[in-house]
This record gives sequence, structure tokens and C-alpha cells, in this order.
Amino acid sequence: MGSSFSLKYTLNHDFFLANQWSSTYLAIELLPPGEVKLSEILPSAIYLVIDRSGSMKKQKLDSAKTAAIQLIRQLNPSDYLGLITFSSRVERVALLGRVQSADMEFVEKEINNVKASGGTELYQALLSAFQDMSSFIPPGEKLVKRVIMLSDGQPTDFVRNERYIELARRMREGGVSLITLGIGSSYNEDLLTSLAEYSGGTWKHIASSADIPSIFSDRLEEARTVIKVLPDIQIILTKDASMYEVYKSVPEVYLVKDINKKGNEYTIPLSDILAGEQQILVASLNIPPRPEGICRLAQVQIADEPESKKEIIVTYTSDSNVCNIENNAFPRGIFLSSKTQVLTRLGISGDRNALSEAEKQAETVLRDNSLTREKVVLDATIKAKETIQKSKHGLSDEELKIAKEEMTRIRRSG
Amino acid sequence: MKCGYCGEENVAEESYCAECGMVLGKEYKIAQPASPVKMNATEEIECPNPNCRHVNPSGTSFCTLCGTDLLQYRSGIPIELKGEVKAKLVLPDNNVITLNHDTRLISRIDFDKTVPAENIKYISRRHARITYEKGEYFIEDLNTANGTALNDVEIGDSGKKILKDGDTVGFGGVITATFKDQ
Repeated sequence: MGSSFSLKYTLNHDFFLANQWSSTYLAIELLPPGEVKLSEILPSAIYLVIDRSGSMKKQKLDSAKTAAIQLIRQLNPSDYLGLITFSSRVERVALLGRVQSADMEFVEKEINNVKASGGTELYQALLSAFQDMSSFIPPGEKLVKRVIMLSDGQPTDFVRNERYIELARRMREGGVSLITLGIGSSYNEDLLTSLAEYSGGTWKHIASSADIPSIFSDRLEEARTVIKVLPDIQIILTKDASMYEVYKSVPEVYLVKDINKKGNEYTIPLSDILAGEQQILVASLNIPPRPEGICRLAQVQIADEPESKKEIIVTYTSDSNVCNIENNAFPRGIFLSSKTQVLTRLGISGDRNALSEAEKQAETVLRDNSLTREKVVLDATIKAKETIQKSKHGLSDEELKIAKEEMTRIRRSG
Repeated sequence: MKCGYCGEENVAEESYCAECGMVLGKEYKIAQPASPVKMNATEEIECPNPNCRHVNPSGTSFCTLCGTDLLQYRSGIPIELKGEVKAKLVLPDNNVITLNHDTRLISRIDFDKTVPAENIKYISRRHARITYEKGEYFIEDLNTANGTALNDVEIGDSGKKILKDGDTVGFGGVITATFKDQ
């Protein structure tokens, strides 16, 4: 598998003035192969964590139960399954174990018996799922480990956000990503987004409970296209160079906060590499003075994949005309459109300054022909601008969640 | 092999110096010291992008609106390395918010390790802005619901207030930090 994906980098400038400090944008694209060979599909460990609080009553819980049973029937014998329901307390409906050695008829019966009542003790539920993942799965076993969490309400456990984030971080370190699914209009989408971001997972808003079964199966399908579980990108910069403001731009959009920096080596967490799914990171760089000549500015690779290594080579010259030419506007464009989306998201959450900044930035990007040539930049910026306009007329809770969801993802194609 | 620019000893099979990144086996003219020189320029920089023309504060690497690399256009003017810590706000639990000479937005995220979850909502996502001008730091409140206080006096809409070493700054009435100029 190892050598099957490639990294591509783009700088908006290739030439820099000799003996001067400069700055540039760096975009790193990860291009995996279009499909996984049948023999290379990793088994999945799926842990369903389902809210059964009082508000889930009827449709939502019924649909979640149907979805869980459907998902179980799609699992392969070598997959793992666990199921927790949570309300005021946490109950293990199916102990985490291999599908082949479990009594699935019994599990289905147990699922059908789940009833809605009580509060939303989310933290304990996630912690239990993570602990089970760490204790019941033999270390070293190659698996795609995912906790799929469905909830419709604010947690009632008063656990600080920071502890949730810490847990999400630990999950990622343990190779577990957290897929947070929110249904209805009263759950905490900001918490679910952070959980997804820090664990390398995804957040999705579910508009109608009838969609739960197909969303569950989509997550399983997706798990089966994983080529590499929760990789890191490593960037070693040349002496005195520095990197700041790193955005994940494709497919999810957020400001990367979890960067590990040791000297000039930066380690940036990515989400699972899926077959055919491109990922893009973009950063701004400060570039140190060097004499005229060719210089290796940085080395980039996927951690543990030395074959993916790319050297970023630039030229220092004393010809300032050459330096002023932007040879590729894509990194700048994707940086700005990501930033606009992040600001828009803050803005529609009630931050007026961010909103006006996002609006100004969107307009500037849209005026710049070299940026709007890039479809992904254009689409994302237009979407942000539309969202800003809409938010001025007021958004309902549900519309706000949909708008935020749109502001957390860009896809380059389709 | 010894690098012809920085003098670092490299293993023979390398083509670029591990330290400075220059091609090995070449001699370079060393024109001027490759260390950042402190900036004394105080002029604002107009963005050269004809679509933008945004006026940026001095010391900005990228136009804050359109992202054009301003440094590229400022050849000859030595600039200061970004990210170097120049001052800080010390929180009660000894966590710090570091400040350099860039404009720094103070936001809820800066306190999420210090302020309990039930109180964090009193601090806005864009709460205050700290700017550096002509050797001094200034703080302004970004029109927040719960305000920013300098030495226990609400800043409100009175604009930028100068920060002096040892000043206390309260955010949203839930936390007080001490400003330390280094």
C-alpha cells in the first residue's frame, strides 16, 4: 500500500529576493488512488453511541434503531461492533467484539428494546466507547476504528469543553476517529464540530430522521475506503523559516490548532485517507534570507511514509521583477477562501466583527480574477457570501446548523 | 561536505544543506548578514494589488484582505521576523497569551484552558484587539456584550488604550490577566 498515494505542493511564488525576508503561501495536496483493492480493505471497528434521552422519543430513536440494525447486517464477520446508548447513564447494548463471535440476533433484540428517557450524559458515553476500543481490540491489529455518535441535544453533564477536546485528541492518538451526527435544532453543533476536528472525524447535520439509516451505511462504506488511518503530515522547514495560520481546506475547512512543533519540524494531523478523496492543507510561510541560488525551503512527507517525501525547492534571485510575479494563485486563493469560510462560520454564530471581515474578504476575493479562475475558490467564496447575506435576514436554529455545515467543507470537484 | 553558505558539515550523499537548504558544492556571495534586522519603518503599506489597494499596518507580511505578499514588494526594507514573542498577558493559572508586533485578536479560545466552561460564554469569540504602534501596545474592546476592563475601568467604546507593564486587563468580567512587556 505504502507508496500508492502522492503529495503535491504548490507555492504562489517560486522566486524570492536574495538576502531578504519573504513570505508565501504553501498548499499541500494529498492525492490518493481512486479505489482500494478488495484484498486491501481494512476491517472496521464501528462503535455506535446513540442518544436515548427523552427528546429522542418516537421517530428519531425508532429511526436510529432501524439504522443500527441495518448497519449490523452490513458488517463483515471480521469487523468489530459495539453499541452504547446513553441518557442519564451509559448502557452497553452490545459489548464490543468481533461480529463472527457475537450473537447478532440477541443484539438486534436488545436494540429493539431500547426506550427513550432521561438526560444526555455524552462525555461518559464517549469515554466508555473509547476505553472499550482500547481494551477489547488487540493492539497492533490493523483496523479502521470509528465511533459514530448520534445525539439531538445539549449534553447535560456540565463537562468542560476542554475535557471533551482532550478526549477527542486522545481518541485520535489511539487511532479512533469520531463521527458526530446531530439531529434536530437543539444540539450543540460547535461542540460536535470540535470533537470531529480534534479526533480526525467529521460532523454532519441530519435534517430528517428518515435519513439516519442511509447516513449510517454511508459511514460504513466510507470506512471501507480507508487507505491510511489518521496520518500526520510532517513539514521540515529550513533554518529560520516559519509557518503560521494553517488551514485544512479540503474536504473539511477549519483552522488547524493541533500542530506539533519541534524546532523547525511541524507535524499536522490529517483525517483518514480515503480512496479517491483529495485533502488539501494550506499555510502561510515566512522565508528567511538566502544568497542568490537554489535552496531547499522545506521537506514534506506523510509521517511513516518516506516514499511520499517531496522537497520544496525555490530560487533566490536579485531580479525583483521575477519575484513579483505570482506564478500560481491557487495557494493564495484556497487560503483566503478557507479563511473567509472560517470567519463566516464565526460570524453567523454571532460575532459581528468576523461577519463584516468575512464579507469584505469575500468581496475582495471575488474581484480578483486570478483567484476566481480556481473553481473551488470561487464556489467556496460565493457560498460564504450567500451565507452572510442570508444570515442578515435571520436564520432559524436549523438553518444556522445547515449554514455552518456548509462552511465546514469544500470539495474540489463535484 | 561543507556548505558553501552557512558552513554546516553535511553527509556526502546530500544535495542540499540540512541547515540552510542551499545547494551543496557551491560557493555563495554573502552579501549581508542573514539575520532579521529590527524594523523602524512605521509607514502603512498600501497593497499593490490593483483590485484591493487595502492599506495595511506596518510590519504586515500579507495584505490582510487579499493576501498579496507585501514583503515581495518591499525589497530593500529589512523587516522583523513574525512570531517572536515581545510581550504577554499572564493569566491567573500562569497560562500566557503571547504577543508579538502583529495585531493580536483576543478571543474565547485563548481562555478555554483557564476559564471554566460555564463562564467562557461571557468572553466573545472576538473580544479585544491588541495592536503595536510606535513602540507601544494598545488594547481596544471589540464592542463586546460583557466588556474589557483596563485596571478595573471598563474600556467600552472609548477606543484604543495604551498598555503598560503590570497593567491588569479583565475580560468579560470573568478573568483578569496581567500585561508583561518584555
